[in-house]
Amino acid sequence: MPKVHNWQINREMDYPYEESRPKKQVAYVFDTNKCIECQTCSIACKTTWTSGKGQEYMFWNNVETKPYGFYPLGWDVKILEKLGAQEWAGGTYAGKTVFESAAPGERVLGYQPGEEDYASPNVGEDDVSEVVQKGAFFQGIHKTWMFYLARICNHCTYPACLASCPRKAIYKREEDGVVLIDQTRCRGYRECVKACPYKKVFFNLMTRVSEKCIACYPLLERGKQPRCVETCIGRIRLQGWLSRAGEEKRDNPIDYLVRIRKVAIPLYPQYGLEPNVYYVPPIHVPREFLLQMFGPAVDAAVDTYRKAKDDKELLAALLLFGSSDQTMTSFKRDGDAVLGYNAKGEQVVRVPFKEPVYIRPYFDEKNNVYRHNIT
Amino acid sequence: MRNVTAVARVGLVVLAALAWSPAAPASDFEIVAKHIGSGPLPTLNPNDPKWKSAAEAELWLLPQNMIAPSLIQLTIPWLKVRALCNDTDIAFRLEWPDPTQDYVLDIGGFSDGVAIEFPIGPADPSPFMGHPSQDGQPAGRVHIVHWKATWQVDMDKGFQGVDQIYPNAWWDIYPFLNGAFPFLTEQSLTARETLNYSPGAYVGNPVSLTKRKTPVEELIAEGFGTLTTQPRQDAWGVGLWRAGKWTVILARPKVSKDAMDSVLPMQGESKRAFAVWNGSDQDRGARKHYFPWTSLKIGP
Ligand code: SF4
Ligand code: SF4
Repeated sequence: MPKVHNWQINREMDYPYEESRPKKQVAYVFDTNKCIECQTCSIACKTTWTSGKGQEYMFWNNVETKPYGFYPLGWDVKILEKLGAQEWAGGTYAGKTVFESAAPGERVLGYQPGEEDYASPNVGEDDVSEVVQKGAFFQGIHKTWMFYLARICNHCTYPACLASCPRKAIYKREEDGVVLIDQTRCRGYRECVKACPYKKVFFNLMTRVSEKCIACYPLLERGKQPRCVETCIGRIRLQGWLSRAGEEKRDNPIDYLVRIRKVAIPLYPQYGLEPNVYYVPPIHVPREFLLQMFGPAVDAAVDTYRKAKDDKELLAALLLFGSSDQTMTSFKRDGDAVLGYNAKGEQVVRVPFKEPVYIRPYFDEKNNVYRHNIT
Repeated sequence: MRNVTAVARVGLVVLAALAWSPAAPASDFEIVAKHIGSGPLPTLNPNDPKWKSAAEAELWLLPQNMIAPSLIQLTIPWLKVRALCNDTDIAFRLEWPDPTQDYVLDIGGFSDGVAIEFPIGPADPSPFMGHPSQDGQPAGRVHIVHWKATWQVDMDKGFQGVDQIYPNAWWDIYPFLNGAFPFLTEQSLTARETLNYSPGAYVGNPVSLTKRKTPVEELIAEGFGTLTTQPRQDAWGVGLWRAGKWTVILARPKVSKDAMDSVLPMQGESKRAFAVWNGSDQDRGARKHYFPWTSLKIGP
């Protein structure tokens, strides 16, 4: 089996195909600290792509409450358990990836979910880690925690879905790294459903072939960010292009957040897929849980994020989130504001660090009406 | 039938490896297609007494473990085959034990199925989808006639989609579909725009067909992963599950007008291979039971 380099686990690993990186790689940063689980993203995706017969249960985008939320049920803990101990030696992963631990006769370590696993898309919603002890509210900060994890296909550099397909019906686009299922070639074997550890491939009950997030590529091709990013109420998302290792540009917001400041890190890097959705980890969650989920890079990410308020350049990059429907390929800090530019170099936005505050009288004399929201 | 171990089949595995090499035909499992004159073949009735007149061959199946994804453990031990022909067509009656009738394609559901493979042209392709072999045999083309339980039930009871799998499901609105709730497939997915949210059907993937003329599909392959539905379909057949057994008839013209079809002699020797899938064991694609090339005598 060919050896490929995976920078997220800092080593070579087995993969069924040779290393072949796209000209540019679609990538996202999601700031988990800001998500309010309004599910606007899920609905935006659903109405755009999966409102058809046979797609009822599909959520190419879903948002689940950790630690008890999953869609499908137990998707991550099932694979974590199958994978066994996942040791890191410093920044290098010493355990096995899903490719390296495939059983004889399999291409990838995975499991086939059943229909019951999709029965409760919002299981565990808002459930906290443990019961809040009586009186804990009044004794300062209590230890109970939860957070919202927004999930889409990671458009992985080493997709397990692609590796598992015996028909080569799944491909990664050379021009932008988007991973797609050829709807004319798929025969619905669902090897990809079994193999994707993030469970982001779905079987269409009407067409009998599999479907997945397409990164809203018709929008990407027009310089626009995908629907889930554009509509995010919490402004937790930013889509852009991640440069290859060694070719990072400081003014590219994705490069800056992922590679230079390392404040956004991949989800379950130990699976070995080099996923391209990068998360700012939830800073109030116990370290052990975060280590399991994001690997050893999580400590520095949490630390950097905690200091963001005094770090104007970082703040500038973080304020681009949700500020435009266009993909911003570069940014610049301008005093206490950030400027975002599209691929043509045109300025798309100017976001002040602090929005000006206007206070209006609660009674509007001109319209003879009381105002509910006076700021 | 989960407990048939592959270990007991070691002898057959060796035989299979030999059979892949063209020099060693596995003649023990020869099938003789009995010629019944110019009258019609009983292609839609597995219980027609004419079938009794053909000799029965019992083939002991092997798990496909040449390539991943593979089948590790057999759940179907044998396939019984009888064949009849007339001046123009040939038909195979295939019977195998399977305690469950699997045809529901829900999220984790897979279909039972069976297929016959024929070599195309004078070259001698490997039985493994015509894939080039390790000993230097080049890729060749194979012609496959495939039946699926899901397609049979689609034919017998109507398309097995969401309506049938979840008859009590409620859904507020399906944009683009014609008609009103419950938006039955046959009535609501008609015009092209109704397929806007059905990409497989929109691009004409044959797997996504909601109306079928036969539960049988003809395909061509030239190596692992290349299986492709033929544009022209000439084969037909029927399948019946009763008392823990599938009986399926696959029929085809000996010679068709399709250049992608194999040509069978009016009389004489040819060969074929078989594959069987057990849906409840999640068999699909390469996860299958098979029997490699063996002799097919098309008799007088
Ligand atoms: S729209 Fe944004 S804030 Fe709302 S659930 Fe989705 S990711 Fe979270
Ligand atoms: S997240 Fe899953 S579906 Fe998406 S590219 Fe990676 S392996 Fe494929």
